[in-house]
Formats: sequence, C-alpha cells, structure tokens
Amino acid sequence: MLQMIRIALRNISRQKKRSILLGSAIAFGFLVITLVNGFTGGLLKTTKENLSHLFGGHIYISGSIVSPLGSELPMIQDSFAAEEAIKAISDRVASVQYRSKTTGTLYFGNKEQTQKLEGVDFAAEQSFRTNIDISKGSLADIDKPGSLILPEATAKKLGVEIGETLLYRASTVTGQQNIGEFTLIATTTSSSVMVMDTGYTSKAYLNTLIGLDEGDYQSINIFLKDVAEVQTVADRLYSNLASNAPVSPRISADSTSSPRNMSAMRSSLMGMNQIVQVAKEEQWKGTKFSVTTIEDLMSPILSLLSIIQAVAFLVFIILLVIIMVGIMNSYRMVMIERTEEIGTMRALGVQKSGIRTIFFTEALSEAVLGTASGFVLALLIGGILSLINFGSGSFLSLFLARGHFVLQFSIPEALKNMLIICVMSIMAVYLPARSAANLEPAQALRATY
Amino acid sequence: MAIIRLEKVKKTYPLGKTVVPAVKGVDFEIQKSDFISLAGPSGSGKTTILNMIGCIDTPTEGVVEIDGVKTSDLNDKEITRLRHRTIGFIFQSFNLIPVLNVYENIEFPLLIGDTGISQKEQKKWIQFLIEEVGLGQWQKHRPNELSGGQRQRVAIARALVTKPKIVLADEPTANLDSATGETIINLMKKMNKELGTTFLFSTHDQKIVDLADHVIRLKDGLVSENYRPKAV
Ligand SMILES: Nc1ncnc2c1ncn2[C@@H]1O[C@H](COP(=O)(O)OP(=O)(O)OP(=O)(O)O)[C@@H](O)[C@H]1O
Ligand SMILES: [Mg+2]
Repeated sequence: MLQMIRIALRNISRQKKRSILLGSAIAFGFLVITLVNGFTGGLLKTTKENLSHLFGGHIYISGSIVSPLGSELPMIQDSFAAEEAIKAISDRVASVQYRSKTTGTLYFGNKEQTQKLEGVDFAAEQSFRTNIDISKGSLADIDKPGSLILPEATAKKLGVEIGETLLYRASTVTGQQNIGEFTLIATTTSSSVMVMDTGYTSKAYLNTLIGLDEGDYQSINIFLKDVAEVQTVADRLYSNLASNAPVSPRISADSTSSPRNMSAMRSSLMGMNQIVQVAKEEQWKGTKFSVTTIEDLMSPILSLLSIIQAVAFLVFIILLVIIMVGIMNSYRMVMIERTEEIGTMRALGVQKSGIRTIFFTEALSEAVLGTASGFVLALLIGGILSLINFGSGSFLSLFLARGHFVLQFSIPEALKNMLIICVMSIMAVYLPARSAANLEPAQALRATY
Repeated sequence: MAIIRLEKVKKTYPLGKTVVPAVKGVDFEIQKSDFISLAGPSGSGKTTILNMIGCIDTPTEGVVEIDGVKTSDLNDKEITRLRHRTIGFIFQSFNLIPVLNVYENIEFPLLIGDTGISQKEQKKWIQFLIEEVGLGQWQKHRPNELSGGQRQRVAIARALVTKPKIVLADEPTANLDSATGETIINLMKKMNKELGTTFLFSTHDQKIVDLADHVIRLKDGLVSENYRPKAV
C-alpha cells in the first residue's frame, strides 16, 4: 500500500505538463469559488456593520404603550422585563444603548433635507465618543443642549458649516408637529450613499422635541460581541421577554411575515411615528416589547448574497464537471501508456487494489495540490484587492468598509469545497482505475510486443 | 515431486469469429532446481506456455500445477499471491519500473506483500543480490540510465528477491547482443546453482539452449522434443 503511494507520488512528476494542466484547472476552479465566497462573506460582514451603524445596534428592543386615550405611543415605560431579559444574555453582549429617535426635516437657509436623528445619553454612553468617526468639527460641546452631529453628506447637501444653527421639524409621539433649534458641532464620515446615516443629539433635548420626558427612551439597542450569532441570541432574548411582558410577534427574515409588517417595522426603527388607535379588546397594560435584529432588516441583501453564492457554486460545479472529464480522459491515456508497466506489476504480485491505489493516489494528490495552490492564489488576489481604495462616494459604498472591499474567507467553506473536489476527482478516476486494475496481465505484457 | 506439471494443456485465442490455437495439448514435468530451456521458433507457443505457468494467463483446457497446486482452483487474489510468493519473472524488455531506482526496483516485490523475510534480513538480502549481479555502484540510478545488460541484471535480482521457487524468463537475451546475452544466462545459471531456484527460460538461440539441464522443444504448439542433454 505505502509502496503504491510512493510510486503514485513519483508518477505525478512523470508527465509534468499534464499534471500541471490538471492541477491548474483544479486550482482555478477553487480560486473562483473561494474568491466569490470571500467576497460575499465580506460583503455580508461589511453591510451588516454599515447597517448596524445606521440603526445603532444588532438587536433592537422597541416598546409601545397604550395612552389613556387609547392610542399607541412608541416608548418604553417600565423597563424591568427588558433589563431582566438582557441580563440573561449578558455574556453575549458588547454594549447596550438606550435611545430615542425620530425622522424629521432639517431646514437651513432655503434648503431642506430629511434626516433621522437619534437621541443619545452622552453621559451614560461613553463608548459613543470613541466609536464615532468624526470627519469635521469636534465633540467638545457635545453636552450642550441642541448640539447636533450630522452625516457629512447631509451637511454638504444643506451647505451648513460647523457652528451654524439649523431648524429641525419632527412630529411628537402623539402626532403634533414640533420645531427645534440645533447647532452643528461635528460631521461623521458617511458610511453609505443612501444618506440614511443617522444624526445624533442629546437624548434629553430630542425627547422634549418629540414629547417625551427627559429620562424616557424608545428603544434599547444591543451590540453583540459576535454578530454571527445575532439570530439565536435574539430568539433567547425574545423568549425571556415574552415570559415577563406583553410582546409583539417576532418578525424575522425567514418567517412568512407580510411586506407591510416589514416596512412598518423599518419605519418604526427609523423613528417615523404614526399614530395608531388601538381597539379596546386589543389594548395591553404597560410596555409591549418587540425584538428586531440586523438580519431581519437585511433580509433582501441576505437573499441577494445567497443568490450570488448559489450561482457561484453552480459555476464551480460546472467547472468541476468539465475538469472531471479532463481527469477521466487523462487517466485513460495514463492507463494506455502504462499498460505494460501495469502488467509487470501484476505479474510481480501486485493485487488489483494496488493498481487502483496508484490511480486514486495520483488523482487525489493532484486535487489536493491544486486546491492548495488555488487557495494561496485566492488569498493573494484577495489581499491585493482589499488594498485598493474605491472611495466612499460610489454606489458600492454600502458594501465597503471605509472604501475597501473586505474579504471574509471561511475555512470550513474552503474545506467543504476541497472535499467536493477530492470526491469528484476520485469519481473521475474511478473508471480508468478500474479498467487498469482489470487488465489481464498477460495481455498487458504483450502490449508492446 | 515435480515443481511444475502440465497436463493436456491447450490454449486458444479468439480472433474475430474464429479461434487461433496457440498451444494444442502439451504435457511435461519440471523438476525442482533444474535449469530448463523452452526452445522453439517464433510463434511456437513459448510465451503462451510461460504465461500459463506464471499464472498470468489461464489455459483453455488442461491442468497447470505449480508446487502441487492446481492453478484453476484459485481466484484472482490467491493467484496473485501465488505469483508473488512462488514465481519470479524476467522479461524480454526488462520491464523495470521507471520511477524507481535500482535498489527500489529490486526491493519492490518485498514491499507489496508479505514474503516471510524479516526486515533486517531483507536489507542484507538485497545488498547480497546487488553485489551478485554486479550493480553495487548503480544502486541509486534509475533504469533509463542503465544499459540493456545492466537492466536485465536488475531484473534478475528483482526476480530472486522474494526467494521464489521458480523463475520464469521469456527470451531474456532477445534484446541483448550475443556476448551480453551469454553473460546473463551464465549469471542465471550461477544463481540457479547457488540458490537452488528452478529457472525456466525460453529462447530460440541454440547456443543458449545447450546450457540447460533440461530442454523442452516446441513446434506449432506441441512438444517436439523433451530431453536432458549430457552434462556440458
Ligand atoms: N493475444 C493473442 N491473440 C491472438 N493470438 C495470439 C495472441 N497471443 C499469441 N497469439 C498467437 O499464438 C501463437 C503463439 O504465440 P506465442 O507468443 O506464445 O509464441 P512465441 O513462441 O512466444 O513466439 P515469439 O518467439 O515470437 O515470441 C502465435 O501464433 C500468436 O500469433
Ligand atoms: Mg514469445
């Protein structure tokens, strides 16, 4: 057995051109699939990050109460149940933020622009200062009432400079229009072209504008240590919440939730308040919670990425089938070229299985060498691509991290594809290996006579 | 007891719709440790008979018995094992394995299955054979770096490495010039005397035939002469 493997390994360098050709074909196939997976994986990660900046977290707990007049008000009033539920998942949590938010219109001179604002408790949320990416201005005056941080793109559109005053019109939770005065102290680097980037002001100041008490908040945003487990952690959080308080049904990407529910959820997250009257028999006591995750919101992007991945995988398989045909033909040739040698080995006492081992080992080592070099190439190309700066203004920027592509290579995925290549190589070489093993020794030895 | 026994052996090859009779009913016995020549003109059936004795081909009719075992009673695995343990092969065109060097080619049969020779003994035995066939300095060379005569010496050492009872050689000198051919036959004869291995070789060279203890002459797929020449 070992002897057969030794011979097989030496045979690889016997027909260098053919081995290199087959190996390169395998390497190319593996390179393509690895790069595509790296890209989609990276896209997923960066879009997730970009969106979580936009929405300010990975998991969002929002609440609503029924007002004495019977309308639904978006706010969290008694947070005991939420606190308990968060405690239960605390080992997974990186940070928790209590925020209020609204979407309204900014006015400056004769220009206006729709903008989402989040109210942040700057004193409590120290990490805000370190996490935010300031492009102009400073956070020195952040504690002054009416201080405003806007996305760079918004400031540019309005033509407003640091230190200038603007007006903001928003509706209160009960539906009245209200206007407040803000001073721009800083701008943030825009992470996306959708100009859906959030602006920030102090929570107390925003609360008075939208008709809440200074200490109130509308949503609890949770950043996790690992975004990958967002759905499982959110499910745990939801079931904990449900055991202590009224909850809205969970709307998730894979459930059959109606598009209207999804859009209602999105606009609630954007702070676009709509006044809804709650029917008597449907009213609840205290705060009714709902739980949403970044993945719920990303479902259209997720399905796009999974389509890209599926197409790439299909191309990969088609490529592999073509390579398989190549392998099969090559080893047919090998069998014909080595007929006498095979006859000799059989005469000397090598069993049929020994001949098969030679063929399988040769094909398998080529597959392994091919995938290994394909993987190294993918890493190289990926590394070079991620060095290129595509800038932040292009349509790509939702998928970029500060102008760069991020490639996320997955080792299990690579191993799986390598396994597929190995299995397919073995399948391709099976028939030639069997015919070679079944050669009649006497006939094989006569082959050169 | 005879180490090889053929009884009413016939072999036909299919050729289109008809069959070609290559061996038409052959009986003979070979005694252990003899040096036997299978002589006859081209097409007389030498290779066919050697292949059947070597268990790489099966007779259409009749019995081939190797060391008391009827070959028709064995399946492919058992036949392969019998070849490995009991028979050594020397081929006309040497048939060394190109990717292995001289030492590895000689070692090869020992590594493909159990031979009952201990590891320690194996190394000594290979060294002994390499010296016997005079290739001490060529151990690390690959076959394509050797002359025909040298290659056939490697093949002789390889055929003997498992300590087989029988060595079969189909026209071992046909690809060599007559002087080299003679030294090869003399080397085979030397090993036959030293080790007591039965050697059966085919040839159509009368000079070589005369070196045998036992001559079996074939003609048209039948034995035409079967005799023991007077000692040379
Ligand atoms: N595979 C085969 N198919 C058909 N006929 C065959 C086959 N092998 C051998 N023969 C025929 O059988 C007969 C004997 O062949 P064999 O090779 O045994 O002769 P040989 O004595 O070894 O001849 P040479 O000295 O030329 O090697 C020949 O007529 C040959 O044509
Ligand atoms: Mg012949």
